[in-house]
Amino acid sequence: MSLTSDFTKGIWKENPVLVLLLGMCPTLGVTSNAVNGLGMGVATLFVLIGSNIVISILKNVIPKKIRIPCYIVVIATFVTIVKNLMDAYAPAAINEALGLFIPLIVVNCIVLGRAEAFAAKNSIIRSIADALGMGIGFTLTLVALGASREFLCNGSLFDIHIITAWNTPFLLMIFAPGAFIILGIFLAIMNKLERHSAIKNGRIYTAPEHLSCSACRICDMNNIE
Amino acid sequence: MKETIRLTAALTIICMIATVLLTYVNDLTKEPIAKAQALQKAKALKQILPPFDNNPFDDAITLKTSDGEFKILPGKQNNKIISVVISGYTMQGFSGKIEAMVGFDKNQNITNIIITKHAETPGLGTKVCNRKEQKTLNSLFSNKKITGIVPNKFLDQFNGRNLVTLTNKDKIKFDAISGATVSSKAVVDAVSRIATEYLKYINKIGDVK
Repeated sequence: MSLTSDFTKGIWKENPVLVLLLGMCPTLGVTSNAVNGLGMGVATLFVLIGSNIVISILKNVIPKKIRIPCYIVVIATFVTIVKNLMDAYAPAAINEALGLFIPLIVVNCIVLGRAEAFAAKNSIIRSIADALGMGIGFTLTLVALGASREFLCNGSLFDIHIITAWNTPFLLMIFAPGAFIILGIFLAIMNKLERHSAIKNGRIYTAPEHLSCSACRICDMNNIE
Repeated sequence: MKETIRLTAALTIICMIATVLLTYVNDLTKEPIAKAQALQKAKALKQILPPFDNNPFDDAITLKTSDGEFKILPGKQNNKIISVVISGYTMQGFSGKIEAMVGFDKNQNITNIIITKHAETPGLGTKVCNRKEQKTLNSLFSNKKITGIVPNKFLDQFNGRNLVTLTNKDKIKFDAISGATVSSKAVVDAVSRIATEYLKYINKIGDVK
């Protein structure tokens, strides 16, 4: 695979939210408006790049059998350092917008998932491309989800009221049920599109082989390359 | 057995390196973080107090309670107290603690309320707590800017109310924001707790003149 496909696969073909279904907690939790989605996405993007670089450098040092606890320690340390440095030195406006989301990322399974599935097996450059693609894919999805929910709730986008006469908020959309409903609709559209293009090319639509559950080797101690 | 020891050692070393790094960064950033937070609080204070020439945090009286603290911050001019800000909290928010600052003028009437910390639902509870400009497409292009404190319909309804009318929270009259009844009631609770604490200590800080 080339660098370009390492980068682009995160945006559409292996989109972390809509295809891999990783990081559901922040996806459902923070997307009550577009600004929050953007903040969470950008914060995750930076942490993902950092953690992919660190894991990729350390991949030969960490013993394979205890790699997952090691990754968790490395990622949690990295995120905590970033949080402290941001609190201390970042301009107040940036800290206000992103600071809230940084602690949420410590246990985000996108970061751990990419460390395990990609950074631990590939070079630094390819890991950075992967992190950029996954981070941007995550950000775009969260912004789209947040924007839909925000607009359906009170007719605004990015805190700007588009429809000024919309006085009664549609509360369902801003609470958890709305998140599930909109995410379900997004997943349905994604699958429909994929299926449509598969049928058009004369194939039967199945989940990509390396992403299906039977191909998962994350917890398999015997299958350590 | 040998492998167990090897793996344990590896994990121990990695955790120790992480600990050392974290300790170092924590020490390095402790002071700048405290400074940044103090700056933010001072900014909030400037918004609600009339001009003062002392550092209210130096003259503060802190009242510790079981789960937080109230602070009485007098604003002085030429060594005379001209107004007082009380910072306090309530635990009855929709998602826990709400911290507020309430400014009182020399007649013990409320000048302004700001919420300094909360975790209310974005889009609902935030309507009660945030002093954020309501943007529309029109306002985006007309380029009008609000100077000073941004109005908030809910918080501003308390302006001018006297201290003694606020101590009993069941008797405070207010218009709640629809869809955010819990947050509205929580802010009222915070204001009344602040008023109650202030009334207890009002004689100790000297007459407000």
